[in-house]
Amino acid sequence: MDLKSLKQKISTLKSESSALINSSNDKGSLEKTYKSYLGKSGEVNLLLKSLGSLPQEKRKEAGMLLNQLKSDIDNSYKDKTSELSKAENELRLGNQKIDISLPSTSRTDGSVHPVTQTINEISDFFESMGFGIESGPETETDYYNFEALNVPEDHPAKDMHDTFYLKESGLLRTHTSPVQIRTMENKNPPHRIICPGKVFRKDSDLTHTPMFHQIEGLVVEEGASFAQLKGLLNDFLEDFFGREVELRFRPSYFPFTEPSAEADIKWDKSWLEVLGCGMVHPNVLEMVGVDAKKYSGFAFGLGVERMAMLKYDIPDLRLFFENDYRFLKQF
Amino acid sequence: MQFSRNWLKDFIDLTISTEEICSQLTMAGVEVDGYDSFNSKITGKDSIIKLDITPNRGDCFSVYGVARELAVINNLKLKHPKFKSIESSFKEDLRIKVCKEAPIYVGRSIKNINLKTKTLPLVAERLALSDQKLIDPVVDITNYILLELGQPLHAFDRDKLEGNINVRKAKEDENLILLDDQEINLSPDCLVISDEKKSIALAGIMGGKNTCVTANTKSIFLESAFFKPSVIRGRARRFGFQTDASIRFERGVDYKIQELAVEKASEILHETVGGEFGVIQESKLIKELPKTRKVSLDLDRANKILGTNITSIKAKKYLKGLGMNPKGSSRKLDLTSPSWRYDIEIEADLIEELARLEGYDSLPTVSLEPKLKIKSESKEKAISASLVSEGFSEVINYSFISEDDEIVFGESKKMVEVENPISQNMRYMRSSLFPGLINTFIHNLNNGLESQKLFEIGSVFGHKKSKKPSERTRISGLIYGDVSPIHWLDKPRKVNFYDAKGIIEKIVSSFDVAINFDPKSSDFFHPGISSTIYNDSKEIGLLGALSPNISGKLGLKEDVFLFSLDIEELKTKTLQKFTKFSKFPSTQRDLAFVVDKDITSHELSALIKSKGGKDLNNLDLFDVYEGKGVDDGKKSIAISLTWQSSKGTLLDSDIDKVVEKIVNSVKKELDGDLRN
Repeated sequence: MDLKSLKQKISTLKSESSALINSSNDKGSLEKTYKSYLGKSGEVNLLLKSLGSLPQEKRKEAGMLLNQLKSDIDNSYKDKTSELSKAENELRLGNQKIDISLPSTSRTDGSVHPVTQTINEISDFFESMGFGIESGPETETDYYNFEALNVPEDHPAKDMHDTFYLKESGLLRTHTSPVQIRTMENKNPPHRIICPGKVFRKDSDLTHTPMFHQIEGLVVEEGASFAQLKGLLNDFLEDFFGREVELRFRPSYFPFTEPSAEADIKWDKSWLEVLGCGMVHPNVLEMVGVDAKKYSGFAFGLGVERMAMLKYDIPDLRLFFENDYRFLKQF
Repeated sequence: MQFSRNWLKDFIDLTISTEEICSQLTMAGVEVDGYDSFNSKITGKDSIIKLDITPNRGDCFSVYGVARELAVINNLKLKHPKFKSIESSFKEDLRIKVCKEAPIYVGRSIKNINLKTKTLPLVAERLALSDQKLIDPVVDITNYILLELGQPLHAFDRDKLEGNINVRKAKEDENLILLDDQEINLSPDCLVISDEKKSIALAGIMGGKNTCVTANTKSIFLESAFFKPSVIRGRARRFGFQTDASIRFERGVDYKIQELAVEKASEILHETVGGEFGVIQESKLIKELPKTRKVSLDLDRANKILGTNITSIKAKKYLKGLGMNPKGSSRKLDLTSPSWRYDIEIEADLIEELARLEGYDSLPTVSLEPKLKIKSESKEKAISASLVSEGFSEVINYSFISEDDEIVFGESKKMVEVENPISQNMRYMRSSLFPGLINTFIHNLNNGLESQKLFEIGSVFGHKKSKKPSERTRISGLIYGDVSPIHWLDKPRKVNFYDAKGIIEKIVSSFDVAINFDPKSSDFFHPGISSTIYNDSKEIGLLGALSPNISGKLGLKEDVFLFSLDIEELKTKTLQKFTKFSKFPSTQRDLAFVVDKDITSHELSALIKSKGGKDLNNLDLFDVYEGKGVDDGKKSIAISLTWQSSKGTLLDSDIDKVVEKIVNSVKKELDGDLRN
């Protein structure tokens, strides 16, 4: 063999091997092809063995050419191997595909009663304003429910509350105002408190249940003013409904506040009563020993169910105490 | 109260619309329920205005009173009620004796009246518009005057009176049959009108049957009196009713209009039923009349409280309009309360008047400055959050329950009973939250909810030694059905005792309280599947399966589990500070013991803990087994133990010694053997 025909042979082998390697579809045939060139009795090895038949001065060049061929085939082989591995891997993962639309294992939470939720929402606002949350007993005495709140025995104002009386003694509180009295008795002013809780009135029809929830608030500070009361309630209602509200104050009557007011909000073009409020009556301050010359105060009260009905568009008050899961789950 | 808008024209020249009138009254504190417009055959275009008058504004309980309020608001002149005096033709021979509770009594006899006549059309129309039934001309006219002036009148049949009139306290156990035929039993704090033989009216509230005007009445005696609010208040309510007269007297009637009312009534009576009019008889105790109250107003303080800047000229104008006769220096005004206003007593009342006339809406508004307040975490909120994350729904039930429920579930020996319940099944204050939870559960079960997790946080009531009821705040819950909603990855399982126990432990874990369970139970629980929860020796809760006797009656297919804890016994945790953890490896051993069936897992694990040494830091019970391979009457309990020291790596040989000690103790104290 002369150098020329060797060079031709190398060129043929190079193109032939490259085509064969690239056309291999699996690792088995690739391996076979590889060995047919670079195996012990592969074509390249056979050529290496035949180098001796070349003249001495040509052997070096022929050796270099053959080594180049060897490394070319090697590289194509390695490239093809990794290409095939990648494809194999893709095929394997592809077969592991799951149905991602199947239901997850996340557990559905329960629900907080809308009354509690509304109390929490309202409390959050007042807590951010520096109000503490106070509570008191649901069974009360006439003194805390009426007398200390400037409602004397037999006063027509008592008719505003249809009171449940207890057989042994006492009554069920008709408002959470007794908590204000208890707080003022036990702590010194200034005060900023809200009192959420259950209240009871002997009333049962479409718009009344014998038990409902109230939140009352009290501020007793130096310089507490009606202007602040108006501002606070406006801020509160906008926070609660999450939008600007049109609010109107008009005079009303509560024995424990003077001046007294009722706050209405504009709802679907008409005015709707949402809050009772006023400046704490000096008699009330006097009865709990707060210096009315130094401190003034204001108070307000609202019905929790009523606020929740407005906010969440709940049509019937009685839904709150039926506890039907189709109602509760919505909140 | 409701009335015809055109009636107002008798006292005030108003040109504004009814809508505007209603809006003005509302914004002045005289609440308007609404108005209806219509055409009157007598007065033309008219409206019925409906008012909802607050207890402080008795002065607005008449057409004249409302006109007076509107006159002040609109700065108009108020026309005083006009009347043509009817001359008397005979002397009154009845004497009237008053008392301090009734300091004015004006009476007039009218003889030979003709009751066959008809009530005047305008009077009849106005009464009808005020929703007053027409009865007879005399009663109609007294009702008319009451609506117009706010002064209740009463007409007695003159011929049924026996001797002089005496206004006095009722006698003990005195009885009186009222106009509406009801017989009432009086007590000495009630005021009656009597003649020399009998009581003839419950003063200021209702007349008696014995002297009432009938179709045969020929002569009447007209009463126009002033009774003090304190002697009327609550009296009618005590007998379960109210009257137009009592509503007005208990709020306070103008004590200067009694004679006017008689004159005005006489004029209309004369025109309607005719007759001969006697001399107007008046009896008064001047000293006992309500005092004109003097009230001072510090204008600076008023402006401070309202956040306003009302000048003294303006304040004087407002207060003069209200009939309060303001006097004094520019910053400090002295006022007198008018005879028709019983709600003007102190400075705050005057501040309200200023605010009212200024208009609440035009008073300034300022935001309250927030203050920093360190929040204290609510126990109820924490409990609720952990239960909701476990899939529980919060319910709120009435605090009232039925006697039956209270007897079955009541935990208090002495029940708290409502004196005036709304219905028989709401007669008691609950001493347990369980009945409410069970009722809610049944309601939802009937609506197709087969698995439920419910809880309620609320007060329970009971009597201890004192008469005053005691209250405790409690968390109670109920679980029923599948432990979790069906899922394609899970095998369904029904809830059991240990789920309920787990909830208790979860709640307790966020508080600083150690609990232990004792198999002592309540009657409404299954005797073998229930427990009392203790903190030391104090009972703080319950849990268990509802007694099959009860659940069977309810037709339940599965066991219902109930639990409860007293929230007051759950002490809030103090701040948790970091504790160092060991960096050395831990050693684990699994041991299974075969013990008598009666030995509780608690007994076994307590013994192991006591013998496991100071480095035993975890104990997990991972299997309980009875059956093949374990002798009858025995069970196998498998426990995984973990030791770890903070000082170094523990040697196997040391652990072996501890395990041997545990095995020996279990043998000796519980007669238990290590299972092979």
